[in-house]
Amino acid sequence: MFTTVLERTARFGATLSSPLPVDAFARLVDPLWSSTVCRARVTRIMRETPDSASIVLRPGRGWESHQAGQWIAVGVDIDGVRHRRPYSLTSVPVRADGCITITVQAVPDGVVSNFLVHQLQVGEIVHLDPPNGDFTLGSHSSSPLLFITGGSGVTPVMGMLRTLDAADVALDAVHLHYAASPDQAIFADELRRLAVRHSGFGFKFGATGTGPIPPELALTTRRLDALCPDWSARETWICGPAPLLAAAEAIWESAGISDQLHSERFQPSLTATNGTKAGIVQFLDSGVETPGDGIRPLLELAEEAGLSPKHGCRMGICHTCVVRLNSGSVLDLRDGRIQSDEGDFVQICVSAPCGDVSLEL
Amino acid sequence: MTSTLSVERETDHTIVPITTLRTVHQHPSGLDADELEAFGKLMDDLRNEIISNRGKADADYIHRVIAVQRRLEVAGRLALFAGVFPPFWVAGAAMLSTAKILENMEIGHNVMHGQWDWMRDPEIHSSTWEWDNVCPSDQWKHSHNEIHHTWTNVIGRDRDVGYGILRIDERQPWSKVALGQPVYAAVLATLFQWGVALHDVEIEEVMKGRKTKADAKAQLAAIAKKGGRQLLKDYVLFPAMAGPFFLPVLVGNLTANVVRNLWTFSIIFCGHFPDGVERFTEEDVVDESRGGWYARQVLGSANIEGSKVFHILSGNLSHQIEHHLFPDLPSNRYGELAPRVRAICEQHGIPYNSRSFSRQFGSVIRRIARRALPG
Ligand SMILES: Cc1cc2nc3c(=O)[nH]c(=O)nc-3n(C[C@H](O)[C@H](O)[C@H](O)COP(=O)(O)OP(=O)(O)OC[C@H]3O[C@@H](n4cnc5c(N)ncnc54)[C@H](O)[C@@H]3O)c2cc1C
Ligand code: FES
Repeated sequence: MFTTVLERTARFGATLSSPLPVDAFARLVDPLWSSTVCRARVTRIMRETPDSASIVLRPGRGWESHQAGQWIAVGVDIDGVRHRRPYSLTSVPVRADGCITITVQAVPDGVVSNFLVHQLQVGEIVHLDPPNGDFTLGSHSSSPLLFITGGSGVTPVMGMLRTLDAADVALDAVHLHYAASPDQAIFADELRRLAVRHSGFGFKFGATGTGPIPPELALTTRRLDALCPDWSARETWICGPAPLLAAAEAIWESAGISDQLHSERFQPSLTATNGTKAGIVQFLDSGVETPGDGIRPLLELAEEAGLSPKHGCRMGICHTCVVRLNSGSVLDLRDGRIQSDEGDFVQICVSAPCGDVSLEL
Repeated sequence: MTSTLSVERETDHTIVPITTLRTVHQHPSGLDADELEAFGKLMDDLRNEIISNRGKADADYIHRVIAVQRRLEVAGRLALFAGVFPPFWVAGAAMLSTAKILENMEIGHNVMHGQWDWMRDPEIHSSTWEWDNVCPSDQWKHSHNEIHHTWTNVIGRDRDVGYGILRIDERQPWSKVALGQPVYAAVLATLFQWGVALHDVEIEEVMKGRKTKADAKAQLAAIAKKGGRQLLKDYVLFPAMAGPFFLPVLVGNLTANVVRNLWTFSIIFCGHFPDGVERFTEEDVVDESRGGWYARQVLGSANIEGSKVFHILSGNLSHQIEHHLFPDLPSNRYGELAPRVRAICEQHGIPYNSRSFSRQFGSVIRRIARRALPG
């Protein structure tokens, strides 16, 4: 009864506001009122290290709580253009104030990370996609645990540890954390305090410097044996730079316990670009694949593969041909611009594939 | 140049062998291939310059226009609820008319052109925008973006030349039907959104058997659905919410729709049909280079001079020439491009048509009246 009244009211409202959704008007009052997209307001920014910060967000309607270790895609407008990047949630899933936090490390030349760490202001609105990812504790909350993190890879683990801490269970965990130097180690102080409070939690920190990892710090079976003798009996979560992950994967593999190692990467594997431009174009909706030479536009390739994509002028002015990019990169033949974000809208009549590409077409 | 002309597509192609056209063909601007290439290069440079420096200020602009438009719409509708008091009715109708004009022109038209796609905001994107107009967005994008902007003022291809109702050019065949066209023009202006909606159904193509009835029916169904919702909102639901005071609301909404129709008709006709604007034949565009395409956009469009507010209310289509040259650049940048485009056109001897609203509109009216008669 009540829901039908609600539904009717919603339908009535939608007709009044049509062709726009009710949200279009509701956001004039409060940008967080939306039933179609989720937005959040920045309520606090806390510097963690000279080039990292934790950002406290108050999500609006439509936010579904997450599991510790998951990430969200955060969308911000930088110089007028929307950019989206994944960030791990570092807060417990249900904070008393209803807020969530992410912790961002600025990477050299990074567009979004530098914006978030150095330019974002309290009060600004960001866009969120629902939480995602399976780098979570799952049913292992009360098993013996081992965490290995490097640099900003500490973020999802911090989310897990805070959640375990808040659940008031007896922790049985060891955490090996690497960062370039002590003052660049995100959360090091909090982790040390956690170790003081929980006798079952051991925290070990290694400063690697900026160059290649010093041999005595590299992740090896010997070092693991020294720092955490029962490492092979522990369910392990690792997140950090590619060499760290590669080392761990080799060790766990040779111990025959790969299924105990859960890993997460922050950097996409570089498959598409890198100069090589020829590649395979996948048209996902039609299930067709065709080779691309990196020179001819996608529209032509699609047509030759037997598809008839919607289009108009074939010279980049009418935008009838736009389709969504699913993965890979495309090159705008007019100005050399590269588009490589999932969900980017591509004008296929003037864009050529750069390596392997898949499109929602 | 061959001058046998007909608005039939097939006949044109059979009469004029492409190969002879390539050699004898001259661009309507009178420029040769090298001059056109140089002109095109300058236009490309302008385009690239704007693309490289569009940014936050532009994004802020469209966000501001959208916020103002939505506030005006809400305020206008609220004021009309108190419309039994004449000052409220006048204020309400004025605000709602302005809101509808902004929504159709500076926002809807331009968003659907992809002018703001670079912001990658899914809520302000050509692929998702639906405007406050009975014409469904996808149909409008076809007839306007694809047909009109690609075939600008090419008789027989650009169906915006007279909207298939009015005779605009002496080369269009005359019949007695044309005698009534001052009246048709007045009706079209008043009901312009319906004219725009029916435009893409291409009834005449269906009658000639070049388009299937099923396709046309599907389009009509979409128009009926969208139009029905629009009518329901403006003429049933909002009036009903005012209870006993429904009449001022209904009349206010009708006024706003008609004012918007008259305004958009005027701006659009001033953009393409005043004196001095050229129309083209299909031979004119055979093998057209990019420079040639640019030059044809200038020859086939006219600007209207006016204040900043006038430009915004016209959706910056008062800078019709710049819009046709760069249909997907953000409209707020046309104003700064105009004097630069004009200077380049003057250097290249391409006529640049820019006059006041009253002069452009006067000449459109005279043309519609004159072409009602033979010749
Ligand atoms: C599942 C997942 C969770 C993530 N969680 C977090 C998190 O909690 N905190 C966080 O700070 N980041 C996190 N990231 C990384 C984040 O999404 C961005 O990739 C990172 O912030 C860089 O984005 P950018 O726009 O600043 O750099 P871009 O402008 O995209 O890249 C600029 C340059 O930086 C390099 N680069 C990209 N990422 C990294 C990196 N991680 N380290 C070093 N160099 C890099 C690029 O190769 C490029 O050369 C996560 C990534 C994933 C996939
Ligand atoms: S078909 Fe014209 S922009 Fe792609």
